[in-house]
Amino acid sequence: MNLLVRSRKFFWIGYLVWTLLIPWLLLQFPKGLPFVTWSNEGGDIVVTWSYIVCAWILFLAWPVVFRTTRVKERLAKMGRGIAAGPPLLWAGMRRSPLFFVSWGVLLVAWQVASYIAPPGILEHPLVPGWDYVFGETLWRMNGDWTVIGFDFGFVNFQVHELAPYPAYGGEGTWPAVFLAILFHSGMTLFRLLCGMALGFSLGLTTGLAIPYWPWLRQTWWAPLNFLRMIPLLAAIPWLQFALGSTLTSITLYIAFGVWTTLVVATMNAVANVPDRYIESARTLGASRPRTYFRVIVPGTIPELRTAMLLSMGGSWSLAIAAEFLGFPTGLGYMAAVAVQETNTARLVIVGFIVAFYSLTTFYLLNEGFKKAVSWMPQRVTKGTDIAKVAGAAGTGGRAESLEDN
Amino acid sequence: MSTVVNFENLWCVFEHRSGQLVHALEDVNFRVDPGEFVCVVGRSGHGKTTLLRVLAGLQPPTAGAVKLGDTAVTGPGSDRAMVFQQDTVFPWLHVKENVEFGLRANKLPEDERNEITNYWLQAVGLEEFADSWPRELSGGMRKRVALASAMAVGSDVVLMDEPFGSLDYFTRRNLHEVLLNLWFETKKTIFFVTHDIEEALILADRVILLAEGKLVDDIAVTLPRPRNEDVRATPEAVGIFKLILAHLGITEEEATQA
Repeated sequence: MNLLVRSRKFFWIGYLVWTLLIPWLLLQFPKGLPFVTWSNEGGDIVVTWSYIVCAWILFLAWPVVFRTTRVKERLAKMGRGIAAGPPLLWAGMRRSPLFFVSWGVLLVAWQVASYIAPPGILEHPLVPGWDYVFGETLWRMNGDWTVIGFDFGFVNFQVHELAPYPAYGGEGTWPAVFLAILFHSGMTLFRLLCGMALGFSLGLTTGLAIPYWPWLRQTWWAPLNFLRMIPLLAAIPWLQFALGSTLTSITLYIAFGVWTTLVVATMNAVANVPDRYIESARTLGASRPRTYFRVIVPGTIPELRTAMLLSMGGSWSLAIAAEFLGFPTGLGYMAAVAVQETNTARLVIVGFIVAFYSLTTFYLLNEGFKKAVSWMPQRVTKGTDIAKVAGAAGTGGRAESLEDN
Repeated sequence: MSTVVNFENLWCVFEHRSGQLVHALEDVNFRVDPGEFVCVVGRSGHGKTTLLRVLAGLQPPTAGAVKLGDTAVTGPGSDRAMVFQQDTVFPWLHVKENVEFGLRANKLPEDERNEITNYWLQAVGLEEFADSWPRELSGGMRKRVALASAMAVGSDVVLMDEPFGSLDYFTRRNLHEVLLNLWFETKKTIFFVTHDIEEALILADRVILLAEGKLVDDIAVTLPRPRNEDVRATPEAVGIFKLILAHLGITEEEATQA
């Protein structure tokens, strides 16, 4: 068992070290090799597409070498998932045709509306058709590709070889579109993660500490509660005046927004842990701290799950709002540019990107929670709540369709 | 196993929201010797659970005291482990970790902990479910976990507040057997609150009868064990049954209907 734990630690620590070494390792490749197109110009690494592909291969090599069986299992699972995709989609269409029909109707109706809607006074169509959104407008996003490099202090990556810069007179390319979206969404994601990490830590700590120490509640809760009432949008200019448009200011802003929700949710979750668990622990000899940390804290997790998922959704809005109002990069900035250009199609694209990332992060956090609370009763059927209460009339067909799957 | 439990002039008075005073316990006095199996019987709302909660240290008395030996009870502790009416098995701990909870709280070394936990899991017939989540167990099995957790902490006194009240007849009978076997083996003092007279006759050495917070009778149950249907049909058992009914102000017709 100990050996296993050590080997797991070795794997992850080794993986981190290996990842940090990859830029250096790539510079050791012989220049004569046909795919080595990158270079090192006085400590600045000039990144090319082959550099990215090789770095990616080296990054994946570590688990392939040290977790061969697991990687094979994952690949097989992915393969099965992909193979099962079309039949699942077909089954889903047969089971819930209305879902697909309603989406189809919405998409077609939007396109029809784009033909018949008045052009309005804007430079771009008021209701842009899908061809306009994912054709011309998406293509013009290559103008947002303006990144010269990333300086991490110990290493500086120059990225001008990846795609020309249309903003500086270069030719427009699809890689530039892809890189522009990747860069701006990457910036937003990074800020969001920093803000969420700080906000979750502060929210959970404060929410757990205040019920534990009554003196803390008496002395600090009134000012904290007042602070909580400050309108979040009003905090943006204040933070900008104080700290400028920096990572610190947006991190603090998102953290503040997350904190306002989570602190109250945590305190409520603590209050809602059933007394019977606490009394049982006390009669079994548990001290107050032990009862708090071994009984009350785990007992809050189911309720905190919902609160944290909601906070995460809220933090996306906060990140976009902060970038919209005062940052020169990020998805919020892209939305701000769209507003300045009165470009509704661009807003649609930003909306799609945000929705994609938001759903992905929601899914990942929810999956993490599922593992953390595997002790909770799990759903055994795919039936919806309404199906459970629909009564005998609805259950026959439902049961049949479940058996089919 | 030498702790005598003394209830001395115990009063417990609550103030209702309307301002009216509710006397949950009124001048309750009795003594329980080590190793006795005492059932506290009474109607709902007549002070049974309050009596047990005061003994557990979860409810301070308004006047009087409960003493374990010479020491007055001032708060909860592992010397009076309790099995509750509701499900108190921690759902976030595996079965084994639940049984181990009190032992960890009392800082027993790991080897000793494992030994005691395995013993009690075996005693309640759950050794095969040590690594299961509570959600994977039936209601009866979860009660066994709660019983094992309470027994494992090694207290001389075990308090049980209508622990089997929510279970079906067959599971309840099975758990009576489990509980009696554990009691025979350990000779712990057991306080068992119930409103089921038959349950009290199956389990108890003594029945303490509470009505409107007052101790109305203290009946010794000297029926031979095991107390199967034949034993419970003897004139002596029927006599005790009727006596309890009379004290509680329940007619035989009402009892039959119930």
